[in-house]
Amino acid sequence: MQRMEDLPRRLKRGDPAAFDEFHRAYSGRLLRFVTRLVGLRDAEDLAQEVYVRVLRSLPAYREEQRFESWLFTIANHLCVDAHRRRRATVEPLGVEAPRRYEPDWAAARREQFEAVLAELRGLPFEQRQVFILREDAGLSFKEIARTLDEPLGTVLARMKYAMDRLRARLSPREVKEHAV
Amino acid sequence: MPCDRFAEIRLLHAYGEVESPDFETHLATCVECRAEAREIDEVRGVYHSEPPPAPLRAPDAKRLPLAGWAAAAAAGVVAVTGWFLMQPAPRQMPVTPVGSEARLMSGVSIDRQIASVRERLRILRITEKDF
Repeated sequence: MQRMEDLPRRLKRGDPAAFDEFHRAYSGRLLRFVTRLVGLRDAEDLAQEVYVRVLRSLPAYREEQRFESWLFTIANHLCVDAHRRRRATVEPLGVEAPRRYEPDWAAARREQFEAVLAELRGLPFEQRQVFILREDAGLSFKEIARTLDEPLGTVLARMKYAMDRLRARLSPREVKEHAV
Repeated sequence: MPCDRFAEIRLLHAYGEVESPDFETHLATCVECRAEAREIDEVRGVYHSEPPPAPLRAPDAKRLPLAGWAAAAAAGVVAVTGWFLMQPAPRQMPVTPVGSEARLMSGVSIDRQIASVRERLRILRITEKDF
């Protein structure tokens, strides 16, 4: 079993096993990322678009970049395009989640999770985007700032507002409405 | 009244992206900042409590032969298309006279290749849902 760290290099070499590995490692995460960021409608098509774009862009990938950062930056760009095309509507997020619930996942925890997802869905796109890039894509705040071409302070402010809303949902208290 | 000190550092610290002895000293004495840090951890814990996403894959081929076929087809198409997409200037691929995959790649446009992988992946996804 080759190491995941070698995956980009093996992908660039055209190793067929690496494509299969890439598919297993990232297809589910990409679909979840897209679904949570832009909604369920057309999420699978969009995830596949991301997939194709990533494979097509591999020759341009530089190994000094963190692979996941590069990968989810591409996904983010396509999601932003999709969001602009259909700005008016946001489909429910995480609708498919119930099918994946584990039997031993405590009901209380599940309720909290659904509450957080519902709150996330209601956030302005820019706040949801920063939250998902941090939590689902695993980008650092500096990487997010570079990806979005925004100052780090703006990224942190969006994250703070998003986090305040989610915290308030779990621990109800006074909440201020924000827009950044 | 929320604490307004270390505004930018608080989140970076919560995510382990900065070390700040000054903030850590402050955290030891500020009830508001400690509560915020605890609640951020809670939100993250809840958010990541969902099981990790499954890859887009087909179920057991023995139980669903069609889905098994779709999995094999899609895996093959992913590999072939991945290789194909990476080739520089892929307008005209060299003709390799052996193997159905080679023939598939040789005379078909990249758009048709992409359409093919999309279709296979769509079939794959549908069979997974049905399962």
